[in-house]
Amino acid sequence: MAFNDRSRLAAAALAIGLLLPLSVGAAARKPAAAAQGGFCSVLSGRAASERFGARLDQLGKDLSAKREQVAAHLKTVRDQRDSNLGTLRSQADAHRSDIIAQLEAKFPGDAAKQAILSFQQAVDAAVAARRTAVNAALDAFRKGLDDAIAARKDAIDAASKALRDALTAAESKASAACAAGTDPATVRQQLMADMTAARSQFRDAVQNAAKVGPALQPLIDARKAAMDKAASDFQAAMDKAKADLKAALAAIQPAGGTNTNSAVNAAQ
Amino acid sequence: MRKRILLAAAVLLFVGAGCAGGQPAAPAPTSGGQVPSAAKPADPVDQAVNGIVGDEQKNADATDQETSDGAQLDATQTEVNAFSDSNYGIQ
Repeated sequence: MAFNDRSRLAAAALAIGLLLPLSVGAAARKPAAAAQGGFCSVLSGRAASERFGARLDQLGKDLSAKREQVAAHLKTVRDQRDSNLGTLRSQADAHRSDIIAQLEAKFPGDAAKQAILSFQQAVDAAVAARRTAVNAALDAFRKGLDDAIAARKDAIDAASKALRDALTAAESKASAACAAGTDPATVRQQLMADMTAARSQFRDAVQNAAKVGPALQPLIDARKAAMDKAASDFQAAMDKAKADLKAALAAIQPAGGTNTNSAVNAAQ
Repeated sequence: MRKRILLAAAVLLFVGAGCAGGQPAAPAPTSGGQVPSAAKPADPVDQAVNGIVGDEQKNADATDQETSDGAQLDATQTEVNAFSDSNYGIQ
């Protein structure tokens, strides 16, 4: 009996001695394993709205909203400027009519009237030509800017699609690795590396897209050149109209038979 | 007494003549015999042309602000950067 008791005690002690280290070790390993396993749990347990595709969708919506805002702003300011320019031109037309009327008042007589009519026709043609040139320069600048914005949009859209493809592929790869029992820490590390690479590619693509910006300067230069030419042509036409009118008025014989070398001087 | 009155009158005449002579002189002719342009009345034809040219220049200048729209090219930069700034919920 005493022998049996001793044997049982010895067996129990042996069992405790063998099992205790295992259970302590398991307890010590449990937090780390839970943390690493938690990454895969978190990855698979995310709500649909937290997955990459949904997050990318939201970013895409934010970008689209901003683009619409920019387009609306451009339309508003352009419409406003067009309206203002139309008002200015109407005022200029009215002022020009007054100027012609004043000339007619200062230089009476049929011959002077005919000379002023010719002057008016030349001036009207010069004004119309300048306005046409200004409109063309304006339209060209606007189209160029719209094209640059569209080109940038296309480049950004392509970059964001590539980012979406890369991120969703990385996400799927991570989920598959978790399902295959890969060490969660390894899964996490690989996913982070894939994401970093995808975002880096995206940034590079965006930087290249930003190079569309310098396309603006040629547009500004071209517009300025067109506006300068329109002004120069207009000035030349006005100088000729002025010279023609002065010559015509100077040649007019007044009713009394005196040569008005200058009707112009007489009117002063 | 008469002499004094006559003397005073002579002085007044002299002073009056001096004032009349002090009026601004007419512009001296230029070498070409023309009156300097500063004093010349504006030519109505020149005035007319200057007025028309000024109006059209003002209209053209009003379109200069169009170039400021170039800033809209980069207006979406913040939204674009958000694509690469996000950690997509992964820590």
